[in-house]
Amino acid sequence: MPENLTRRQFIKALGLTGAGVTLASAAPALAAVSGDTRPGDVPYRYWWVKNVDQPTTEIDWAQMKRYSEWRTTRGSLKEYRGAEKDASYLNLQKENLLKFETEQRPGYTTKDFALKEAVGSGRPPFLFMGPQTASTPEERGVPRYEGSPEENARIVRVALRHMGAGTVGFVHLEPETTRKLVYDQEPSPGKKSNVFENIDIGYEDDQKRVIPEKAKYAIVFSVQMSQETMRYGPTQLGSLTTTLTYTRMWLILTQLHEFLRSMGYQSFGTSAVNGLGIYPAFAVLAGLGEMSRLNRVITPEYGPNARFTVLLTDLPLAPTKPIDFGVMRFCRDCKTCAEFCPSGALSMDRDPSWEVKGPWNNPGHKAYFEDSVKCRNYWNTCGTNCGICFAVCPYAANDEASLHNIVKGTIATTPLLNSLLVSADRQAFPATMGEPMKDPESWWRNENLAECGIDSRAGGRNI
Amino acid sequence: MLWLLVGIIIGGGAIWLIAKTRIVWYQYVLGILGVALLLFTLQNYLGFLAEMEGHAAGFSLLIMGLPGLVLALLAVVLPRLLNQRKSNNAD
Repeated sequence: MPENLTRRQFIKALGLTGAGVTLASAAPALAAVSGDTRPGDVPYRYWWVKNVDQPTTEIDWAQMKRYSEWRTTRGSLKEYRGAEKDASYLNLQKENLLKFETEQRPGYTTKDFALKEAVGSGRPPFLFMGPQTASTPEERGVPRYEGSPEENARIVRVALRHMGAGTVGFVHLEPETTRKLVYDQEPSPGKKSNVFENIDIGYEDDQKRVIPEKAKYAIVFSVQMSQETMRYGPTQLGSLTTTLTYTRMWLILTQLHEFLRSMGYQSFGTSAVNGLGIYPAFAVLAGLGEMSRLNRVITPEYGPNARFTVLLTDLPLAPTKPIDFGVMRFCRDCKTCAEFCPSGALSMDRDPSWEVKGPWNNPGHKAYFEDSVKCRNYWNTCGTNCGICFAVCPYAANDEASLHNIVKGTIATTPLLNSLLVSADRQAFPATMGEPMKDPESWWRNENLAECGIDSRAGGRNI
Repeated sequence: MLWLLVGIIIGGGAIWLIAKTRIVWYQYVLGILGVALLLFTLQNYLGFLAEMEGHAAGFSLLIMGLPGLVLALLAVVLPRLLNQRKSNNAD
């Protein structure tokens, strides 16, 4: 054995030291981002997210008609399951919630109820054209903001990120295609018509909401939901994930209205929950995600744990392209959400279908349509909005561990390993039918939680 | 900072090994693969803990850490076993 280092050995060892340091430092960087923004991109995406010209969900625009939000189970559940059954389910929900809180069942304790009530408070009112309290450039005595569609897109994106939005994309409304995604009528009880007219200034009266034809730019953005609290569904603790996200989303939406107004432009948004249009469809077309077996959007950044909303404006905005990162192919092999759905509402078919499951689905696209009434019946049974399908989805993972991105990159590249990856996911993140994935009481013992339960740098962003 | 320290420890260990022992080619292969797998395990273990996914963290130790450890140990033990076998044969 050598007693002293020779020069050759020293250089060799130095190389190994360097390699060691590099390798060790590189480990977190395996989750690196794809680089600079390309035209039509949602920026700062992982390398495995590809822009495509057509979304991975097939759409037959000729078959698609404008839909009304009140026809979903949010607005017509009583009609779909019958008045007697509806009353019985509502009564069951009331009884169960009282029983669970009285028993102080984990996830349904008084503190869980209280937190859910709290995070649902403080929401600004929904207004079709926003509060209209911000000063306009005209009022300030300056010309309105002017920029190219690309610059405008960047500015809106930066502003939205600062307000708390996740990813941001843009869609142009065309009468024969994308404009059909704006609801014909707003939700119950108002059921006002959403009308497009060739006018200069939009308005609202007792019967309708009138959007100028020139407000053809749809701003579509996601708001990240807490990955962590979603794991505790179906409980009040799991349920407050969406409650808090809606509170944040409505505040952001209101601020966006005011931002556009203060730049000198009009904006038109929802006047009720999910009211303006079919947000998942907009999200897919804007490149924020792909449809999935959940019949909801899965995003590269947050998996299924995101909520979406849309605002229409006359500020010209460059559109973003749809994306393909392998979700629709992966869902053919992965039925985790459907297998763990306590109500059996999700499709177990291998392939998506053009056939809808009921009037709560809008025909004209090929999807994994769900039995929404079964889903709602279970909501009444467990007393909350369940969320198990979101919790067990293999994409429902934060990206601290670099393995997630290697897996997602593999799925985006080849479907050959899908079954293996599904099995591994079920071993690493075990779930039990109808039960939360984690003990809700353990969440209350953690005093070092992320703000709002989210990682605002999730998704490979360097900001 | 953690990764800098890990790099220094690995690099220092490598210098010491090269200085003190004669390393054959398959030790490089096994050693580099083993250390890479252990580093990957460490990153994922800490990542899963940061995600508050304790079960997944443990699972990563089992499916990646264990093979990494075996490879790294083989790099150290295999030459000794081979030498022992050679001396036994010579006797």
